[in-house]
Amino acid sequence: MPRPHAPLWLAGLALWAIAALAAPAAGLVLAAAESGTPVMLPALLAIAADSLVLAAGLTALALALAYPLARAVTAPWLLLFVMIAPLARAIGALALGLSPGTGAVALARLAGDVPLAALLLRARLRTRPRSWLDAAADLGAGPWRRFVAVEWPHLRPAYLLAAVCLALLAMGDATIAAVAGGGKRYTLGLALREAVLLDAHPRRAAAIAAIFAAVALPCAWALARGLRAAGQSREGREPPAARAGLAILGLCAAPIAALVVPAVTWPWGQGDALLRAQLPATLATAGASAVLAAALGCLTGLAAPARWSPALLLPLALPPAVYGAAWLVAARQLGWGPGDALTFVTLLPGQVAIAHAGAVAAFAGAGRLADAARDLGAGPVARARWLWWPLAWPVGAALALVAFAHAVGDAGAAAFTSGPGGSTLAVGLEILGRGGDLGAVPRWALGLGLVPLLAAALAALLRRR
Amino acid sequence: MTLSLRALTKSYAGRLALADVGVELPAAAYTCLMGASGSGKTTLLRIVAGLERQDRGSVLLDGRPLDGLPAERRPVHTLFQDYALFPHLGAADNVAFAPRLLGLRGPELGARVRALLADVGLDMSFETRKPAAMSGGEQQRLALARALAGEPRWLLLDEPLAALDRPLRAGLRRLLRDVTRRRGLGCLHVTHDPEEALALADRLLVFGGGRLLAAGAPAELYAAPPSLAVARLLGEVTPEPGGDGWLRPEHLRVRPIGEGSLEDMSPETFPGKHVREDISNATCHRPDLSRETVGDRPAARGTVRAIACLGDRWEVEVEIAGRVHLSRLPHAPACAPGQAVGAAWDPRCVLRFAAQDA
Repeated sequence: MPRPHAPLWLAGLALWAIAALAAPAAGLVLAAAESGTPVMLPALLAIAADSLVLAAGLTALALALAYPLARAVTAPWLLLFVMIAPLARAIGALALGLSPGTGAVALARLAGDVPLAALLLRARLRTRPRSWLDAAADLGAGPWRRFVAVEWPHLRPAYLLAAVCLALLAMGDATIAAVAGGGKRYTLGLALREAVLLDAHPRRAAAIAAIFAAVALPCAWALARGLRAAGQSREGREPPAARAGLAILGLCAAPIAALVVPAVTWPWGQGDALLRAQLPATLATAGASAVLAAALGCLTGLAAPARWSPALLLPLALPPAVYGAAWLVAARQLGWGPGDALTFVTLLPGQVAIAHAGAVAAFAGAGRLADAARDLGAGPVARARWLWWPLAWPVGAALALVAFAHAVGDAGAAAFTSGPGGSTLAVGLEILGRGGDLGAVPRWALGLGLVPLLAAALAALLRRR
Repeated sequence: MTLSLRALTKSYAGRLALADVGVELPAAAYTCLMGASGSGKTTLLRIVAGLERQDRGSVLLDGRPLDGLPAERRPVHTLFQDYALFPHLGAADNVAFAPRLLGLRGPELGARVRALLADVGLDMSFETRKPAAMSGGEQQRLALARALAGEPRWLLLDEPLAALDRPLRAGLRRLLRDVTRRRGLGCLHVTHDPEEALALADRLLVFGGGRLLAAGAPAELYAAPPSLAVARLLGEVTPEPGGDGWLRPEHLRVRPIGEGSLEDMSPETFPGKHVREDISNATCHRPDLSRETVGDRPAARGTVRAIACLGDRWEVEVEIAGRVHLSRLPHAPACAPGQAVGAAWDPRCVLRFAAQDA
């Protein structure tokens, strides 16, 4: 059937494309065209190579650990660990007693990367070809042979998608590298941040952003495909549990657990007061953008054509640092200064992408319900009242909570857009963390780490309804 | 209300799903649409429901075109293949969905819902139960009650029994027939199961490659299909021994050579003289002849390759002159694999088609 209100949908897509993709891209292109000092390609390539080596190593390790974790832990728990802010993980890694450097960066990254890879693998595991595995066993194949011949070819697309996502996240990371790296580890994301905020070198920033964009485009397409496949696997069964992965979950939880003792034992100080002052604006910005993002995500997840998904998911494939840098440069071109409004605009596309992904997975197959409602005589208003609203509001509320947790913990994009001194909690926390505040930082980092837990508990409550 | 389909054509990305389909479906008749997967039958159903738009042609109800009406304003309701029950509503609310939209409220609505649930064999305990907590058969009954609740003029059924097991299917088939007959509803039922189609239909439409291959009364189409494709869709066929025609397996009779009379396989349906008393051993043992004519009746000899019990009947594979033929018997055959048997059939039961159909 032809899509109703097609011009409205097209106008919406055009607006989205301008706000979320074209404006920041145009800002970077204009910045790149400015005359100034050259990019110094050899130095940039050296950083890129260093970043790539670290990303490749961590990605390989995360992928190896993800399989047992995917077999042991259910998707909501994995999502909970994915949602823990990178900043909280970085501070937690240091609280474990690790000295700043590769080890601390690796632990902070793996604590989030392994659950993310496991989440993608688990979605694929739900569609594992049980009949083929049974046939292989029946023909005499042992566990290893079955894995190689049947399970691995089935899991390969999920592994590939996870590898691209993790490598992008590791290379684009600025927060963990800045806090847990202690200046000993450099990533492309950190180089991007310094190019924009310290060196005022927009051409270099544009070159780095272009590298990420080139990788992010196919990644967004792969994400959209993976999402569709996950949506289609609703009837699939949970993979057989394997308890070995629980030890890996312990490793992922270690950085957050390490924050508990310093958080409760250190006395309250000036840092706490500073961060408390940033809390209302952070909650307001994150809350407003989360509600709007959930509404847009549900709307697009329910009604937008599937071919739009790559465009909607692109902000999820771009590291937050790239988005923040791009928007800051674009805003400067437009004469718009950093602050809460710019942070709101910068965070929104990523949140919409998260909400869209969740809504697509949640509403897969809802089209047949709409057909049934129409067949029974329900017009657009009746469908909205009797079908879409009761189905969508618990999902929308849960997605708003996820988007909220994401926005509250974000220091990657907000580091660019919040302005000097940091007008968001996470950015303020990162500044204090680099300054070595021993009392407030673990306490507030633990708070950031617990936001997803709170969000997950509320989401589970809503889901039960 | 007569449902008329006029020259309906629909294609998806250049692939023709329906090609110039035109047919008149009489009011209150149970019409089954049969065809293999991808033959266009579900597309046709969705076009009638208004869930798809045809490229050309029109759908008329009692002479009035429905083409301009959106799905929600058409006086037809659908029983979907996967039922499409609303997961957030209990059974009673699912059934009440359409009546509520028609403005029914309060005790009247409650009474109608309860009556419909009872009509399809669901008791009061189901009222608050969500679809996820119901079995496949219960969900199917609930979907039927929901589709009937809006009092449609025509009921469209998209392979509603496909997901059910055989015993459940038979029971629900009878329920469907009873419920729709009582209401005098016109039904358009898509299926690929010949048994279901033959049992339910007053009129049968057979589809293939988006075209209407045949239309008629089920028994007539079964007995005299216009093409081999239609014959195969309606049931198994086996080559005529030594000939260029085809037979239904139940029309090919076998008996061990040397025994007495042959069994008549279908005396009620085909009351012609089937019983072949006159296949002599001499005829069957002639080594150079696999097909014989005895009087005006054809006969042949062959060797049993396999015997299978199908529950209510038996199937015998007989090799005659290098070709394998099927025979279906209502009881255990008195022969064993490897044994020589005589085969006979009534020439009036031989199905013959134009060369391109065969």
